[in-house]
Amino acid sequence: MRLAIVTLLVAGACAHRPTETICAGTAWTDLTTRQATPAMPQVVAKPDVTIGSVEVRGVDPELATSLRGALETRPGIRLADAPLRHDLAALYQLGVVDTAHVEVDGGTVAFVVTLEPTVGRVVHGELHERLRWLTGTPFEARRVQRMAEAIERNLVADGHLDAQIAVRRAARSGSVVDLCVASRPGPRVAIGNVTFVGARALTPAALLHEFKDAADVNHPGGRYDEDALATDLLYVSAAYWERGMLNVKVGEPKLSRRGAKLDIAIPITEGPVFQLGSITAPLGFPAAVGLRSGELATRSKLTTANNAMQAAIGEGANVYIRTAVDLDRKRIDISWEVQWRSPWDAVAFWHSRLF
Amino acid sequence: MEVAVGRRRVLALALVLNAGCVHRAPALFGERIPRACAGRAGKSERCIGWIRDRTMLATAVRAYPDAELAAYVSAVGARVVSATGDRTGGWTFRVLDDPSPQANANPGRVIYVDRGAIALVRDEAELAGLLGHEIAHELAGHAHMGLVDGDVPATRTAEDERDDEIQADELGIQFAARAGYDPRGLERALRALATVAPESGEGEDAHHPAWPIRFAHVEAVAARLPATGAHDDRVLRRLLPRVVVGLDPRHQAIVGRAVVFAELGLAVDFPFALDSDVTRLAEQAVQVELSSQVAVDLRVLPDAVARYITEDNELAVTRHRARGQTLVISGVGDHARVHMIGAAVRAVRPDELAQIHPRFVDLTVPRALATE
Repeated sequence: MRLAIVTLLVAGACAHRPTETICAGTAWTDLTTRQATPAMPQVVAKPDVTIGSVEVRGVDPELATSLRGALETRPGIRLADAPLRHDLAALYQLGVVDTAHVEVDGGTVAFVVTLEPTVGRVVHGELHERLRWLTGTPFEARRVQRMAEAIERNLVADGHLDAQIAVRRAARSGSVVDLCVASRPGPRVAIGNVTFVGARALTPAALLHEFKDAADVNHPGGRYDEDALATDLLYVSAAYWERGMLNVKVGEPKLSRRGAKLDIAIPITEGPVFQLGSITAPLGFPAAVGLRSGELATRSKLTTANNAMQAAIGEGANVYIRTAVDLDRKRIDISWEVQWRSPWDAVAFWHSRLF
Repeated sequence: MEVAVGRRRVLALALVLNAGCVHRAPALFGERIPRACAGRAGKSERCIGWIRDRTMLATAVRAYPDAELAAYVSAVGARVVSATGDRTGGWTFRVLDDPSPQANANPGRVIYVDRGAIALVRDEAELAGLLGHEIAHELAGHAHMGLVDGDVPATRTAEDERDDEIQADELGIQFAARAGYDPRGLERALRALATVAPESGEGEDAHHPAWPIRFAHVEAVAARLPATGAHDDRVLRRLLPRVVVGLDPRHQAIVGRAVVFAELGLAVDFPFALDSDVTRLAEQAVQVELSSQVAVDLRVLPDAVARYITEDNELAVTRHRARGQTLVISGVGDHARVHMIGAAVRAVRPDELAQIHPRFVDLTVPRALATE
């Protein structure tokens, strides 16, 4: 979601990943991930040949033994293209092989492989300490890309909403790949205005006061935190519920950029103020709930009343408050549902009440 | 179903205690919260790790009671850490009293190794490889993914997690090799693990790679490193026969119709044979089915944690304190029957203790047999 917002905000910019600084020069090329199923070379298998031996060449003996374990080609079977192509695919799927081909010499079938190159230098300025752990490990393009995306996410979460990370590679030799990670963090975007469109019963300051974040999050001058804002908006709704506006609608925040400022507009439809209508307590509890018909209906009153009802009934049952909203008369009727844990609990309760 | 409810409760308890203690109390499970972890600073990797470690130790795991083994594992871990070049310090290695063949990295430089994993290794290079793997998780940031601001767990897929495991293997081998250990040590340890957990890595949602893929990667890395590495295995091989294999019957055992908690000196009688009605939840917890609808958990917890488990509308609870710990008997559904079981607690008898014999690592037989 955050990345989607960033993409929208910097529309068009993402096509140009940052490469103009430390990754400049012709040696650096795009980081490309190998296709999942590499194109298979045509195997020239001769019919009517029985395989005498199967070898894996190009790697040390222990690894060759393991790689041979992934093959279906075995001594004693007929030489054919399809199984060889299947085995080449199986070798690639292990994730350690960079190239593989088959050589057939009489009854000997050899799978000749080269291993993935290792990562040599990682040029990354002062971006991210963890990138250094790539050095010396086999080059996995997808892993490198994933680490770069994590860095980008961290920058975005820290307020650099336009952050872009680009990774480029350069082959130093056949078995070593150097990496260059270029960053364009962009400005740290601070929140400009936070407005509550449609709010009348509560002032903007009062509504902003409902935000429970620290002053540097989702407040003017602070950084934007989408998840925290979603929680803040629940508190905004709760503030209205305390004023009897039980049908308030707090809409999806609209974000707009002004340079390094991010304005947040929160649409609010306050709705009517509700009074309590009929109050139907369970049999035997007319006075336990403390609610009066005609008074302002607020969330805390309903919660307090429900807790009082639960306390009065005890642990033998769970009580649930039920509401019926009359939008025309702006009233809310209250009743309770009592769910006894067992008939014996109900009997024990009434026995204690009556005797 | 009852099992799931019980586990959720313990987890929720830990979370509530976490949240409560960070914001309102200066201590967590009796240990003072570091000043650096107060307020917003508490979201740092180290602080999250500290809180998680304290919560784990108080509620979910316990240290294996062998100080010499713990010191030895810490020394090997420190040697591997020093080879990484990491100078941040503050690493902690804990041997846990858990029969699972697992090790885990906790944020904040804390590495857990179950005694079940220690029981599988046969030389120091294998242990160094396992520790190197977990150290790599921590250094590469895998251990705190999703726990610290900025890392969005929803973006991590099972494929990402499998790649994290491969990266941790590759780095672990390098770290161990730089520390002077045989780079093939991790491979040997993984092959031993594969014999006891062959299903690991199966399925698209698996968090670990399939064994053949994992072996190919570790061999490919080890093949590029010098196959040297001298180490002295005498200490390890002296300590291994002290490591318990499998569930430790001293924690909890079935003797006749009783569940016996020998360390607490308590036993709980049941009016029926227990063989098919018992599920072992953990080292110090069992669940006994009373019927298809009702089951009770018998769980040993530190006193400080046990008092947070309260009786409510869903859960019937009885407690029995002994030797600094509490046996909590809880159940969902039929309060009367759960309380009846709770009332059947008595002191353990000598004849019951005589039937409890833990099994230790046997170095004279192949490890697959010695640890199964």
